[in-house]
Amino acid sequence: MLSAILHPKSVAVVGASRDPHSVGYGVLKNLLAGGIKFTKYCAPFSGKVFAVNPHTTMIHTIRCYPSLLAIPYPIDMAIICVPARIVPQIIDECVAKKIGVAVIISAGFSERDAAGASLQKEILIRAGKKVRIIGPNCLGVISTNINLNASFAPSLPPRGDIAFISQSGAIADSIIDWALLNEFGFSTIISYGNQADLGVEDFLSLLEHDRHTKVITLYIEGLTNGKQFMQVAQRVNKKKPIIVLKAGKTSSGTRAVQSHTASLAGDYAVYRAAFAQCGLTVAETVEDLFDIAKVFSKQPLLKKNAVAIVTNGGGGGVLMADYCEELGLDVVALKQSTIAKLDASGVMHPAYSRNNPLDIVGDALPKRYDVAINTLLAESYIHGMMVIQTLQTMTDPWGDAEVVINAHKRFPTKPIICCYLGGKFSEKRIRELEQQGIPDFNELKKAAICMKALWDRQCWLRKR
Amino acid sequence: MLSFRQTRTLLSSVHIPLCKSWHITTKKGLQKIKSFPVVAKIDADIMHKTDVGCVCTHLTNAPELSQAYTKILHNAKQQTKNIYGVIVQPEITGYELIIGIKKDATFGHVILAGLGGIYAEVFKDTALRIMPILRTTAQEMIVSLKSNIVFSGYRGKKPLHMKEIISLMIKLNSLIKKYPEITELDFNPVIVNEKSATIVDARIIVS
Repeated sequence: MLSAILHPKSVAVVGASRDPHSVGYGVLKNLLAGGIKFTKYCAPFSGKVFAVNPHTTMIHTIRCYPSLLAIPYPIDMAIICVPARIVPQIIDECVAKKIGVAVIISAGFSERDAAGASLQKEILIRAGKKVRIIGPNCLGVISTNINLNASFAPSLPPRGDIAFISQSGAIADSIIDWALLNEFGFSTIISYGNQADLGVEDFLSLLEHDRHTKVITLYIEGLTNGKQFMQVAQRVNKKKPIIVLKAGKTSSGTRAVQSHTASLAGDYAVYRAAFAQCGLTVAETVEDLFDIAKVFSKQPLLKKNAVAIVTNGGGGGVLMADYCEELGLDVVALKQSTIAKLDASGVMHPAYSRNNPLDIVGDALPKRYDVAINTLLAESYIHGMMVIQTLQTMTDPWGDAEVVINAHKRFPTKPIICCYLGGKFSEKRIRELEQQGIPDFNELKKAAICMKALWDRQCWLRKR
Repeated sequence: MLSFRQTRTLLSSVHIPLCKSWHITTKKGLQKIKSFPVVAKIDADIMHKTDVGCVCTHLTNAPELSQAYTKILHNAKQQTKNIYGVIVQPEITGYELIIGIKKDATFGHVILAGLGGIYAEVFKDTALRIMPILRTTAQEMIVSLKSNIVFSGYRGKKPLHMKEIISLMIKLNSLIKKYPEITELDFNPVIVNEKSATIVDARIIVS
């Protein structure tokens, strides 16, 4: 029944509207066209769409029904946008119509006041677990592989294998717009609002077996059942990496602290301990969350803590080495035999660094990158690599990109992360790198953070 | 907060030994104490005993002990009416660790271990896990501390008796299983040297 969340075949919008400023208008358009603001990722929902509004007979070119029960077709998912006080009777209709899932976008429940909280209890009672509820007070659900935009986000994001489960609708919304700009792909986005019924644990279980999802990202403000979450998260994390961003929320309980332990074990510290115990990767910022997700999606884990840095600019190499050391990544010294191989190639600059970071000097052309990268990756004592490119007059971003792409194919078990520093003249090649599965960052520290995440996860999986 | 006697009873039910202690309620009771040096502290509902003159260390003979006893009781009376007595313990030297429990609203009981003593909250060198924990988890927690370099034997010193610390941590699993109503617990300090680990001060709060 819960699979209807990711793969419904028919949906009905209750509270569909002709008013272009209303949620009901936007949600219906999103299902019919993929988005309000047209982008190349917009396409109509692959299943059937129905509209429900007793006050009108036609919206957006489709027929409008007076109620869910009037629709002569089975419905897998209802998307509810009517005012809060009307929602209980809609839930009754969902039960009668045997609709498995209701996504309640409407606000005005437990987040508002005590009256709202009772209303929320009321809909749960009426749903009686026959209709499972997402929300209320949520952005909605998006599943890119079937063009399901059952939300009031302005567009479908690009397709990809990363899922995002968010406690905040506003964050989910902004991420979609960012994803459109950066061509970052998602499989599913769920904004779960008040968590009246289905919560984070349920969505994690759902995504555990979803073949479109390879990596799971979470934005959490607070959990209702910590132990339950840990049990599910640990199980799912073994199969698919889960990355979590936790917003610190001041606890509502203000019991006076009577022990050193209570004063040392603050809310956020406890959450971090719980996440660490489950082996979850913890992100510090929204950017980190999706940077790490991108790398987990495209690159293998780091099998041993031994990385090499190849750069055509000394400064970049030093900074990268600094970040690696700070994070506990081992920038291994090059063996004499490796240096001998590099010397023997005949393409290295006489002043090249002869060490790790391997500075192949500013005038490096693709041939030199080719020798440096492949010689180092071929060594059994080097297990991962960061490749830095800075732009000089003779630098060939296209050739360099080809070298990296081919090296990745040749050494598929060793992670490679690129830093094509700059912007304007490297933009096109960066897109090519990304499309071919090589993550690229314009900030050196991000590459180090992501490589560390690849190592930490490997360590945790080995301990299981 | 439980009294010293209640605390001792509760802990002994899961085989957690406290430092050998005499619980003194009259001046005459001090006569039992024959070996020195000792430490004397108040048994009362006071969180920071050292700060309010309710702990006296390095008492080397009976007269010093007697003087300390009087002083401690006097200082304690300024803080609270709930005074249960004075605890006298042999003075042990070593590093001060903290082991503690807190009942968290979201995750249940959590266990903490780290650098202890009165500066615990200044240096904040601690590790935290959700309970119950495995032996390997307890070991990971200790290794993760900055202070572990010192515990393992620094600059020629012998390593500390951390095996006992790990044991104590595991026993706490049983304690909260038996008494889930415990909301806070502090073993601070646990004094650890090469030979032993001793809980010198224990505070337990139940709901």
